[in-house]
Amino acid sequence: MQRTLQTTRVGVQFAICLVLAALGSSPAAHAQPGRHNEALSWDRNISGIVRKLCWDCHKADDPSGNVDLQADQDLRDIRNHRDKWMRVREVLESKQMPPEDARQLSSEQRELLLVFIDETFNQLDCTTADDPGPAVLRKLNRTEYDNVVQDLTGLDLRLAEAFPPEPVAFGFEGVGGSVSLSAMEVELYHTAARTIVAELKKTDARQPKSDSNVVAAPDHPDPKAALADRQAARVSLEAFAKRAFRRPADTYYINRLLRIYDAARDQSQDHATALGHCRTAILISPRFLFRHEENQPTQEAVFRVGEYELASRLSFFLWSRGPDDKLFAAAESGALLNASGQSQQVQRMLQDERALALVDNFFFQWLDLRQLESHIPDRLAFPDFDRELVDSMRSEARLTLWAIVRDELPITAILDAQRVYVDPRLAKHYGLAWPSPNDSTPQIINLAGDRRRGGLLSSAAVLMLQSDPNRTNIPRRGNFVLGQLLGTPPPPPPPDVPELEVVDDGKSRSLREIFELHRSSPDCQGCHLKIDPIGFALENFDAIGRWRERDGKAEIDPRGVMPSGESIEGIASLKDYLLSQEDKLLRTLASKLLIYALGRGPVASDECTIRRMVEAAQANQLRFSAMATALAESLPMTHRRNPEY
Amino acid sequence: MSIKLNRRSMLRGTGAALALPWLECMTTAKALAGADGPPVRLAFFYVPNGVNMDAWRQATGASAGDPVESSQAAHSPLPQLTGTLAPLEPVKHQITLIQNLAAEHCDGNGAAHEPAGGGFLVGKKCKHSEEPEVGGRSVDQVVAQELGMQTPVDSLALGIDPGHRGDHGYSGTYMSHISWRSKTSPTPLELNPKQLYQRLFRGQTPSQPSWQTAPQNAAEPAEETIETSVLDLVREETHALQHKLGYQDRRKLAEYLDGLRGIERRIAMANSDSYSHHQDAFSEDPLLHADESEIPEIIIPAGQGIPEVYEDHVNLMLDILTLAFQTDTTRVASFMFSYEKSGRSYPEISAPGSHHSTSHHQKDAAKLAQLANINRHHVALFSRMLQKMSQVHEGDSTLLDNVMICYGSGLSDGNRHNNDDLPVLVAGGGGSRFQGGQQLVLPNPTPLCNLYLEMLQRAGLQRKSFGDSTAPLPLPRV
Repeated sequence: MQRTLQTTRVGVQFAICLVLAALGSSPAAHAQPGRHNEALSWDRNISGIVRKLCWDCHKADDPSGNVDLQADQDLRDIRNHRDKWMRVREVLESKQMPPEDARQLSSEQRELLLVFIDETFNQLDCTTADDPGPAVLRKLNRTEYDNVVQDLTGLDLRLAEAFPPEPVAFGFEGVGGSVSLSAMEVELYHTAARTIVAELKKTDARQPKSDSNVVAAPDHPDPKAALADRQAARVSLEAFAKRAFRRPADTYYINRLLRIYDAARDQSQDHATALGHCRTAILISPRFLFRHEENQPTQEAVFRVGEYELASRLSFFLWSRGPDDKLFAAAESGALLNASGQSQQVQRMLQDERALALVDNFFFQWLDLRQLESHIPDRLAFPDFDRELVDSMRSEARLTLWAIVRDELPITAILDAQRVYVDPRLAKHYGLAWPSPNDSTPQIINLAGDRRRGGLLSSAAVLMLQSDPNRTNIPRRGNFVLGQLLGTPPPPPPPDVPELEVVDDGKSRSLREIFELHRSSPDCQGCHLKIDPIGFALENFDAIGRWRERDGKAEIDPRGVMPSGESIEGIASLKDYLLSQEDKLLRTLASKLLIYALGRGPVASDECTIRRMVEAAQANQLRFSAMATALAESLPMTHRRNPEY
Repeated sequence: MSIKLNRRSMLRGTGAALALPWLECMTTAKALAGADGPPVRLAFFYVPNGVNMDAWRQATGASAGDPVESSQAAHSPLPQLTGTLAPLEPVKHQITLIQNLAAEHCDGNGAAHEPAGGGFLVGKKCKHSEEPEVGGRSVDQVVAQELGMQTPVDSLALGIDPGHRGDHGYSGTYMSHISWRSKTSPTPLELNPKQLYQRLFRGQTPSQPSWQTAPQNAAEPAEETIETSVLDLVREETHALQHKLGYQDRRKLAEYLDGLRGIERRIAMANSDSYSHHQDAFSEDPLLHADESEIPEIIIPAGQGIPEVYEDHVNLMLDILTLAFQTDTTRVASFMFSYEKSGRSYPEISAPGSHHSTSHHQKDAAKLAQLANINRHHVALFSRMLQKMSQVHEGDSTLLDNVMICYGSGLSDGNRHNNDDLPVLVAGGGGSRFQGGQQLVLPNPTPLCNLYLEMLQRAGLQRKSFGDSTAPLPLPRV
């Protein structure tokens, strides 16, 4: 049956190709599938099928399985909801939908829908796609604020640690319209600015300078010293403002600052104090706190962002901070605006230690690793656990991801790798021999084919965070792999999960056995068949990520079968199964990275950028740098359009 | 430049008999405060993941599993408190337990925890979206907008845990934020007691107002100083920038300008506010301070300022909240014991499992018992705060007489994710107004927003409705 279906579809697709070829049409960016073929036209045929057979349950109000098909009225809507329609495609192909008790599709209709979905998304012509998405005004997030202040002052003040947590959209802080700025936050910025200025004054005072610290006595002003002071203030403020605003400040602004400086000096304040007021003004300026980009009112279409703006986009993307001197120089010489110049900078930046920001800011948010700060396992169940162990886990996650960012490891090291980056504490946790007894700095240990470890998926950090404090959590781990890593999250569980009817026959049951009882309920089965085999394979790791053979008295049985028929025997074959779906991981990474870099939600034409990013990685031994470079050079990264007024 | 007084101060203060010219300002003060004496302060306490409902209403004697039905509102005295509510026994006379409240607006498509948290105080449904967008301004922020100018800080949104990513196409922000300044702007959550304390009291010794002077409603514009010219420059820049931005982003900068005005106000208050009760008392009249409570000492741990133990963290935050009310630094607050769907473990009270996993008890007796432990722990921490409030004297009353606090969750049974039959109680006298010590059984279902409407009206706002409210909640009155 499956086989005939496949053949039919190939047949239909082939026919469409012929039609297109015969007409010699090159599809435009948003070509409509079936424009020349009534059966495939959304308006004339497909929408009718969807309306008749899907809308009863997948309606806008309380949609079944959380899939609202009524919301998508035309092709534009459909293209904007790629993930939803890919799910539709999946359940149609596997015949999970429509459910048995609902009106059924004919096999022709099912085929048509599948082809329609494929065509709709494949026909996006990336050679003409030119939508960089909406222009958003981004605010420095907490990480960026601290980094930028460090670059400005040379001091590691970490003031933003105590700022309130920021709204999260698409899994990342400070994305899109969710950026907010309350009076309370403005006050925090103001307080922080004063702290920074006070700290700077202290360091300035420690650095002996020739005449800039001379205090001109107001009664007997020394015009020469006053003039020198003022000149020193100008030079200092120009440099400070340029670094703070990520572009040179205009003369008018500097003069306005100097008026404040003068007023302070007139009130007998010394040079440093007067300078401090001006620095405060810079540190609470919207041009410092927001990443403003200039519009080009005469441009109707899309335009390239200016050189300083591009420098900022790149440095915040790769480093979570403003441009350094080299990047400024590349912007000023114009080198940054040509492809090879930009590529050079991106390569340099990815190799620079500051690219660790990608690990701490991007990867840690994507992979939920920030929860390391707050997750506390049950100390009674795990007396060995302490904060040092968390530090060791964090260190492994950082080093592994850093190796990925620097191309030491391929992107798929998220799933599997042949070595681990551990310190003595974690090596012991993993049951690995520590090679150098006198050295406790983290090292790379080659696993010699032992696939129980290696890669983030089987790291203690991930395994612990996807557990409960006192036990493992099978569906949570499965959900994490399917949703966060592969980008195919299962629908939400039904409310009122039926009670577990465990017969108390004196037998000790493993968590797995209890779960199998649970999922025998038809409400739960659909999703758990997908989630649980993954969770089962990870059952060999306890709630703090240690290897185990038993759960209580029961022996662990890590085997399971995916709905598609692949059988999974344990961690090694789970890794193989996931590696066989590497394209899904790459796609997820690419789409998350794009949201993170651009600070906005996805738009339809992002699909082109995502595909290029995935292809770039695949063509370059799955190197992260290839993917990041493809994004850095993409249209949405280098272009913008004027906002709507 | 006039001093505003209320009636009680005129009767007490010896100088008041001569104070005919102050009559006018007294009227203003009354209009502002809405009543004699200390104002009503509002707070909203949120517990995530619903509760063990049987243990919650154990004291009421209701048969397990079912809410009490009633065709019209009826109240009766609270019996001896047992189960989850047992820790409230010492302040029982200030508690009204409410049954059959429902929050239709906390229901969401597919996901339960996100809309339960995000919609709780808003009274309208959350948008199903990765970019958070609720139905409007939350009830606490409605109050903050109208009354916030009377105090140095318009409102507080306090919490313990930063939150978690969302699921099923919802932003995680819905779960970590119950307070919303606008549809798309959650009120920033303050988690760090040290930072909070510094922001509220700015290195000054907190002092309690005598309540014989009314707060000033707006500070005089600050004199031209270097500080204000710094702000002027920033304002000028912001205006210039605003012209270049699209509609959405102009709004962000409008908020920024509001923030700058806030700073200016604080500078002005600090510089010239010698007559406000927000400063050390100016009064010469010893009677005015005769019944002033002592300002408790707040001890904040060194370093980051966040206590390591959950209980200590909560207590510290609630001590500062109490102090903020006592000193009239703010009059409205919200507090989250943790974010919605929180998986926090509470080993210190023998509930070592994930709170969220435990809430999906599947009627397992051990899990239900653990859940009841967690619920009771939160109630005990809440009760401790209420008891402290009952020791703060405000004229003839106590702070507890003058607060009105809603305590509850957007979910009822965490296993079922239902949004009716919610666990909700009200604490405080609402201005010595409520009878307390009562359980109020309402027709099922009664909108939760009815309670919010009653709270808005008690705070002096002229509101006829909020969310899906049908009428102000008939809390038994004195």
